[in-house]
Amino acid sequence: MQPKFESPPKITLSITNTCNLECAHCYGDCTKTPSARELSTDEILAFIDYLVANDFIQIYIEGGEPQFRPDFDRILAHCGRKLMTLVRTHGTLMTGRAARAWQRFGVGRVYVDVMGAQARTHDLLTGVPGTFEKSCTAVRHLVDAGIETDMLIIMNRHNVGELDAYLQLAKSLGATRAGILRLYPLGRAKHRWSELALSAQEQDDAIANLEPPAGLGVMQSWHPKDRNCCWQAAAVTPFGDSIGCMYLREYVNHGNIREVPFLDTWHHAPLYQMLRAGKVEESCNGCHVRSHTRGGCRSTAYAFHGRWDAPDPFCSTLNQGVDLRVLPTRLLRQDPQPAGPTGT
Amino acid sequence: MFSQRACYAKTRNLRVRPVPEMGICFVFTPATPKLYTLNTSAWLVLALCDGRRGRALVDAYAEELAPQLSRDEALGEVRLAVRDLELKGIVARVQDHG
Repeated sequence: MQPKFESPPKITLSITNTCNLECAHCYGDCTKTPSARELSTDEILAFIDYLVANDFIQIYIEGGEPQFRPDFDRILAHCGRKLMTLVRTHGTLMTGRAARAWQRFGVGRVYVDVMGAQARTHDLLTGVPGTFEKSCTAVRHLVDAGIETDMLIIMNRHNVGELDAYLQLAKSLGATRAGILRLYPLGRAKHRWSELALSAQEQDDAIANLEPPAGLGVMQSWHPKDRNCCWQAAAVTPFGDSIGCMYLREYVNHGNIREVPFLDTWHHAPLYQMLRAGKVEESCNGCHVRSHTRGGCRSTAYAFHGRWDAPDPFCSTLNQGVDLRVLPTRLLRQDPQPAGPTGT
Repeated sequence: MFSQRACYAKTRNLRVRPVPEMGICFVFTPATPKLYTLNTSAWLVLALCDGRRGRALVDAYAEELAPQLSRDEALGEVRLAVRDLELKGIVARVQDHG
């Protein structure tokens, strides 16, 4: 049976599609200047108040690069002691002073994107020389400030050969955990897919051969840990669109919080309800036993098959011969039309 | 160490988010800051920590779970739960205002 929340206790809020880097794997197609459609400071603070009033208990803030927003400290100060506050950042704008301020604001955990075990790899992927050193320094600042800090890496062809060195790096910098994430065909990443993507076998082999150092937690979502997280997913884009999960950003729009209360999208958007119900064509028993969910990630299932109830090809038992190095051409059309609130 | 004579209450500024449909309760401790997931047993103990004495806490817990649980069994479960909740900064000993 699929787990179920009557109303969501946790949410992801992407506060900007701006960033100071040029990442090859960027899912947001980030720009240097913000779109006029981005939520204003007042709108974000009001939305945080709405979340608190409606019994949310955790917020995960990401971007773009959240720290690239000039009002980010104000946002953190507003939510840090009311909601368990998690932040994802690449850390290149972090200073020791900022880390201490985040600790005072009550930030509970920070996830720092470091895309390789060495500067050459990381800087190649971010497109900006010198960023590896800055991101590593950010981890040190955050750890020194007493904030639980994890490092995240999106596994791809450039960094797959250095995952064990990466885990050692995470341990040496004081990170609590390292998260090895799959590459999603979104934003700039899908346009550089052939350069970045690995086959299912290459990915499985890399995960199977990991040798993490003692004391470092490793997060990953390959078989038998391929979860269908949609049952609990709540996310809002920088433009106010309720999309369930940030990895669905190009495929769905359940409604805009400027026009309808967020919880109305949760309770009434048909596609949102359907995705949370977890009805799938096929499920992997191993992943089901571990995660109590069925079918694996809906974003990659939909990306490769074009059906919401399709099996997730990133799970080796559900792959069905899909070559993950080759994207369906429909994903490469300019401005793919997301499904509307009715799921059409 | 749990004492039946001490009084226990929730700590200040705690945020509690019950999820009855899953039999769990999320608790956010802003001072730490951490998010915990309590099972039904710890959730019940937390709900009963309203400043009452440990002895009354055990009595109330046993009453809620009678007849499945004896008072001695209730004492064992409450002792473990209170110790864990104290370590997490979710409940604390308070002065008796009764």
